[in-house]
Amino acid sequence: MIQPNVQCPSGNQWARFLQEDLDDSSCESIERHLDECIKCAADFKKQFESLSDPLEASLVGALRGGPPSGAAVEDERTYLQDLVERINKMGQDRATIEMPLTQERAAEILWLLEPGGHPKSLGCLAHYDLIEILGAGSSGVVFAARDLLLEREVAIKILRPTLGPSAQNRFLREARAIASLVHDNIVMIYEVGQDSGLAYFTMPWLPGETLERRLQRVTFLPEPETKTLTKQICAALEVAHQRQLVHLDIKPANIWLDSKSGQCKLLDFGLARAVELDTTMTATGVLAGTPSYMSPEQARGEELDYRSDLFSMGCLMYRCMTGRLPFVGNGILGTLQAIQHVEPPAPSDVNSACSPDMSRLISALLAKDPLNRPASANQVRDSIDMPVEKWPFLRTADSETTNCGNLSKTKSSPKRPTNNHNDFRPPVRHFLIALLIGGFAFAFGLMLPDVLRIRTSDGEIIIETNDPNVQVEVLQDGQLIHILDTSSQRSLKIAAGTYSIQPSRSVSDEATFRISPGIVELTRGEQQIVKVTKIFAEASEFENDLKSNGKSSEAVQPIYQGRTLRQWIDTLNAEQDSKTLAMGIKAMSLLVATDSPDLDVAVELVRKVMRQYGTDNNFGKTDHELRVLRNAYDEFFGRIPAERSLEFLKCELLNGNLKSFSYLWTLSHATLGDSPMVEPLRKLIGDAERELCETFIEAVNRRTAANNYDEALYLGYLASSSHFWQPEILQRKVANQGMMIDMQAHYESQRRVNLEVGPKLIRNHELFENAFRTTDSELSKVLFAQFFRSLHQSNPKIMNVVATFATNPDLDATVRWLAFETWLDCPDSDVEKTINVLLPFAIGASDILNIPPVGMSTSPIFQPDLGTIDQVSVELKEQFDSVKTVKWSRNVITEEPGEVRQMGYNSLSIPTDRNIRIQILRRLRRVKEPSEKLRMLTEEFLRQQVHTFSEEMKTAAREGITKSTTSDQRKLLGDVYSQVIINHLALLTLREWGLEPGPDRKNPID
Amino acid sequence: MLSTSESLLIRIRNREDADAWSRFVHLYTPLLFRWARQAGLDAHAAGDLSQDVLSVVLQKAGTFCYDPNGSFRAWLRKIAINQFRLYWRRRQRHELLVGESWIAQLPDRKSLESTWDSGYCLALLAQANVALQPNFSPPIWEALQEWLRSPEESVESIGQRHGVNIWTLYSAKRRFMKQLRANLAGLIDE
Repeated sequence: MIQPNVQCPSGNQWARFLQEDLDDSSCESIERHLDECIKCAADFKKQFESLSDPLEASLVGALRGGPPSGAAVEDERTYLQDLVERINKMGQDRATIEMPLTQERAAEILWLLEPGGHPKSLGCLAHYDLIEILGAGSSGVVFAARDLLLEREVAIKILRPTLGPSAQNRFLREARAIASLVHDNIVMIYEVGQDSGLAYFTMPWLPGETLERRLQRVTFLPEPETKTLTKQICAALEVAHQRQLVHLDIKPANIWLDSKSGQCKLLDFGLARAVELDTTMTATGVLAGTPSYMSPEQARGEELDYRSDLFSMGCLMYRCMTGRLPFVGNGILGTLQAIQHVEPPAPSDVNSACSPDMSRLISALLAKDPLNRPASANQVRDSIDMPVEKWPFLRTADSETTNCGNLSKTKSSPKRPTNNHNDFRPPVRHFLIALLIGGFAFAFGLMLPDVLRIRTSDGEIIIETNDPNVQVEVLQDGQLIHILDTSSQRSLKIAAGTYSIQPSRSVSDEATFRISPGIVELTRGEQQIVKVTKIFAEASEFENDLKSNGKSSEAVQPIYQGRTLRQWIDTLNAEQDSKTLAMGIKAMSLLVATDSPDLDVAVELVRKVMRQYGTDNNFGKTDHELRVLRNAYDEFFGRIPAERSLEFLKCELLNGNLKSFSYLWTLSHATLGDSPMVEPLRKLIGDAERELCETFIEAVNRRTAANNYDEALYLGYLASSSHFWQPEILQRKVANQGMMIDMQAHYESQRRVNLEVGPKLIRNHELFENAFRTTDSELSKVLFAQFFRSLHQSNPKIMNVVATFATNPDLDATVRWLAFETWLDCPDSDVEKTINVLLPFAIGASDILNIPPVGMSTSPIFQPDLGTIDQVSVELKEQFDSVKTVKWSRNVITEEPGEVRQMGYNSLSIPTDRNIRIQILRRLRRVKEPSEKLRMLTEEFLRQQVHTFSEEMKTAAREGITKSTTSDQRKLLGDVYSQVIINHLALLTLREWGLEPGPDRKNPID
Repeated sequence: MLSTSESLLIRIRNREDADAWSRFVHLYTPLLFRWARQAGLDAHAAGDLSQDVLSVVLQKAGTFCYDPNGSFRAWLRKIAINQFRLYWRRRQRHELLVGESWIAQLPDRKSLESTWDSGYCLALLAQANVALQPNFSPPIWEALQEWLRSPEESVESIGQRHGVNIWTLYSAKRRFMKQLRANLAGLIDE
């Protein structure tokens, strides 16, 4: 045996060794020792094996399961390896990662493409194999691609297919603009083309990143770098400006930093336009830009020249030098306001590293008045390396004599509006326009949120009509551009141009309209009144004209809010925003042809939306959002053929969920604001009442059969609270169909699983309350009586909830009483916790609850407990000595001569408040060992219940009730008999609880 | 050397840490891929989905605040299921667009979740296991794997078969477990 040549490790060392807490050399020496020392080796093995590691156990499980095998799996393994590499690369070059929006945008395009030949290809467009997504903007998506003919890498910008023809024009214009500019600092264009219905152009693919991304990483740039950058961008701008092109969207995201050459490239001329040549653009005044980098004149929607770009350049330099934006406001509106009215702190004040000259140059560029800015990009570029005294523009900034070379033509704002009042237009109005249009654009996800398009110089079309519900279509060049629903909108602000107005096709079949003028030529800022007159006579020549017009316009694909039906369907599938969903639903109702299969698609989409978002406010959306959605549903079902609407409603009753069939409920309640379409819908439902009732009953039966408690209950409310479903019909039908029995059986079964019901009740508290608040029919009361009763055996927590139902003054009185009774009846309810809530309620209840006195009510709830009354007959005997025995029965009024008297309890008029006291006392009697707190809470109450009787009362009581007893006498008797019971119960309780009856005893009865 | 004292979860938040990302991708791509396949996607779709999920992780990693009580498994599951639904929706939309009537049933959340939960640990462990291979010399690795696969067999016989000293093997196993644990720190709920 070899003796160990080292000393055995200490206990501490072993522990650390086992806990993997030693350095490598110590480990090695221990391992050597283990090889040699048998004792230690045995010890160690024992200890090692006794360590149980759950992670190791899991690992063993994972390894034993082993990877799946087979040929298909082998294929996948290769694919998987590729995939891992691809994703890894994506992470290594993180610049390619964009927000999910980018992917959405890219996906729009990729669906339309042929699959590419290469496994890594995203798709094939013309002779380009798309490799990866580089980024997405408002108008298009940029991909890295491989040119298969020239075998080189390119960047390809593809126009988003969902944009309309004007976007295509803009896109082409962008390509032309770039193509016309040849400069090192402007991205070059290889080719413009169209394939698979997609417009695209290609550019060189340059490794690098945008300035925006750089600034996100490093916050700000050193001054020399900013200077270089500024000079390069200004050189690019100069070239563009010389060709009378204004870029209009200068911002860091549009500057590409080419990491290979170190040059920067100006990108994205999507908004650029010619100052001189393109007069149509200025006529309609479509402006755009990114709010944070907009010039004041751009923000106001005024005419622009190249100095707008210089202002944006100033913003960009400000950001580079300080890491901050010069103008920041609350939201877009605030930013636009700040741009016009706020003087930002000088860059050198924000960042002390910024030289005074640089700071001054930036401030000069940020002048509010374009005339006070440097006169050209060239001047800016030159000034960068010049001492400030030599700057040309500071000396001459206020004069009109600036020498700006070949740009002098445009220097004095050649596009200044001729009507001077525009200069003095208060900015507020532009803000409003900006906000409205901006909001519209965001809602539709048409563009990135940071790009704002402002439509100014609109005219206005005002409709005058003798029919409040007429709809007219506004067409331009045969294309439907807007539908005006005069019930909600009487005027339309719209870009200047020529429009034709015609009645909406959906109504033109029923009536004839005369529209004058039918063609409107709208100029900027003008209002035009169009008169729409409904003609009640039969078909005229005029109508025939209209019909032929209608036919001709059928040839073009109709659009609503700029999108075709297909595009709207597309939108609805992707959107979650209520406003957009609503707009889409409305659009479908207007655009879908009733005989086309598209209608099925549309109906299914609405079904999906409704099942997901519901129609009333129990399901998460806000009231406002739901109103918007509801109005859209109303319009949809009001417009499509009636039988389809009915079919839909029936289907939702049978197969829908709470959210979708609650639409029937909201239809019957004008609580959320109604669209004009709701009336025809209500009529439709009214006409089909019988049919719907049958469906309804089947729906309930289905739910109860499936133990779908929530939905059955909700259908119960629905039935009982619908205004247009005659409650009698429904109740009878439902009862006839055995629904009540089903419900009862259901509740019986629920009683056994009360633990399940309880939490549901607590969770759905508000749902229940809402149902009570809006219900007034007997049926729902009975349903709730049964529901409450089903809770009798449940836990105190649930009873506390029930107690809150009793005292909620917003609830229906009967329902409150039912809740109260339930509470009283429940042996397990936590009396101590709830009595101080319920006592004041119960005592004052006769005032609150306008319910008939006992004896008059037909509801089973109000039937007294005769057993209790029998118990107190002894007391009666004591009080009224001539009566030996009183035998109570419910209704009989027979007088037995002599000793025994039979009394009909129901013929008495027991006041409600006394009945409530009786119930409370009965409840308290069940508490055999009251807590100190409960005694304290109820002592006063118990004492106050004991009263004495006047002689007159005693006499009346002795005589009892006969057929000739008047109603006044019955009332008196009711008072007396019920008070006898109260006295009895109160005294008994006081006695048993060890309380003195007290001085209040024997108060005379009032 | 792949072992690290700092959790991978924290490291992937650093955008410059390419190694962390690479390891993360190697760990999770197969997991996501198999899950998506199990949930009914074809290989290409499953690949796209994995890529989408990981790109979301990449974007969100900076903002993901590590909560010692929360589980990364559940966090990632949420992202994966959301992306899955997104994918499903796109596909439906696409089918609508090209005019085919395909409205297949989206697998319900419950089943997606349970598939996820049951596969998560196993897939991750298997992947983490593979990732450690370069850290061990081939005979030790082989022996170690054999030992892990059949823990009931005696260490001596495994050591003999692969010509590895058993103490080296013991030591290697400790090292292996330590690295495994470090690599999976915060990623699985032990």
